[in-house]
Amino acid sequence: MKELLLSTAEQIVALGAKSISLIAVSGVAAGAVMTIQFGAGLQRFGGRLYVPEIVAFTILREIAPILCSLLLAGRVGSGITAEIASMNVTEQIDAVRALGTSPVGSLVVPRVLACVVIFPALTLFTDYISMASAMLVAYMTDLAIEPHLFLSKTLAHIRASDLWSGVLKTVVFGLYIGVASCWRGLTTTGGTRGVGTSTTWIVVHASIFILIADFFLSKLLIVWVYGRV
Amino acid sequence: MSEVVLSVQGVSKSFGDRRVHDNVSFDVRRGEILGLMGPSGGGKSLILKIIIGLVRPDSGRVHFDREDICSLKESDLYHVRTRIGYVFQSGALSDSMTVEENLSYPLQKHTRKSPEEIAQVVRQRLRLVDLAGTEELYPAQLSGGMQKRAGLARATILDPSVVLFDEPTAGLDPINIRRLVYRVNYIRKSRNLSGIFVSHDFSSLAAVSDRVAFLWDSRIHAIGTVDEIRISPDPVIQSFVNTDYRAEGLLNGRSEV
Repeated sequence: MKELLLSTAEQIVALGAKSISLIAVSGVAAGAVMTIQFGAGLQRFGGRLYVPEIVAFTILREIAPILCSLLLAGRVGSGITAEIASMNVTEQIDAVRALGTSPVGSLVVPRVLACVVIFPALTLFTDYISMASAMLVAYMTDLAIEPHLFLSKTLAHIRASDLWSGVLKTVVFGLYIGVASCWRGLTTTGGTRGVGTSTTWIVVHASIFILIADFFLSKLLIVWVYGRV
Repeated sequence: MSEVVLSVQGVSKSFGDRRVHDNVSFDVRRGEILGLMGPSGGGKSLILKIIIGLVRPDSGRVHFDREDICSLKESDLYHVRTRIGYVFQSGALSDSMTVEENLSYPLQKHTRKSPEEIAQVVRQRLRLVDLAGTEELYPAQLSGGMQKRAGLARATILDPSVVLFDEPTAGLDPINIRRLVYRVNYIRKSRNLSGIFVSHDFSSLAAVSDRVAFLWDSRIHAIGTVDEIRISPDPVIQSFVNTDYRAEGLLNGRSEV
């Protein structure tokens, strides 16, 4: 158990911590763009002061979970698949089995657990950084919304369920990407060309899964939280 | 005659239309190293993977210490594999681990030794294969010969009774082949190892093996002592045993392969 926790912690650092800068840049860009786009649209109807809650609602429920998951599907999913596939084609996986141990216990479980932790954790980080960026852009552009006003309007209209429903979806995405990327790596054949094919496969399939599953998970969560579609 | 420790009986294996093994049978006796010779792509490495349960045969049986390996579930095979060492052709050391971590791994998984005891065993085994001082290096920092010797140390660290050597001399220069053959013989004699030594290089095979089996055309074509194989009049066997290319006139293009 101690060994499993240690391996999982190593994977969280290796896969998650090294993704923070990518997630931060994307989160800042998403918050900023959402603010100027909603600002430009709502100003036409005199709805400038609705920008904070609409931006927050969109970021927390959709933009941050999806953006973060898609980026991690590319970075973490491809990383896991490439690593395990390389081990597979160089007989390192056979060596693990030949030494009387299971590659599932030593390689798959820590990576899947790490994904289940990393995805929601980095989504929360994206939520935070995107909202901070949105607040800054709302103040510095011609929207001129004071930070304290942005914050109070956001807190007044956003519910806890808006936050956790977005985060909850990423647990499913993380679980899928962890399992699928390990499975693809373990079943890779065909040398270095096979490694390349598997790495591309996981990025494409994980991205498609995220986009399709997001629709069904969103619908499910809306029914669950609000009791209607 | 010593008891049979490993028995391969009637093993057949195909991949699609390609039949790699057709009713392959041989025994390995306790304390004996059986050399397995044959052409590249002839299924020599595959038979080792079947023996250790990494690949399932289409038919046939593999008995190790009276256990039928082919009928065991993957989870039951883990225990059997701790008693069979496997030296991979490439070494197959884990890239992300240092040499010390690679050798410590099986000890951590299968013994109750303390970290200090494990470190001591690892240092001792590294000395045994002339790799003292490489503990902190990663496999990529080792030469091919060093990787194979580290693989040998890892495969024997749990003191298995049988070791399967999958072309450990392939791609090595003569000095490194001698070094590896010497270490294999040293470990073998000091621990009364049994095993199978796969190679298509007869000279290294003869230096390690008691008997030699010749795998040809999906079957065991011949089996006998090293001397019996060496003097066999069979032209196929001679084409592997006698590799004096100059005498054959290949260098001048006087004769065809």
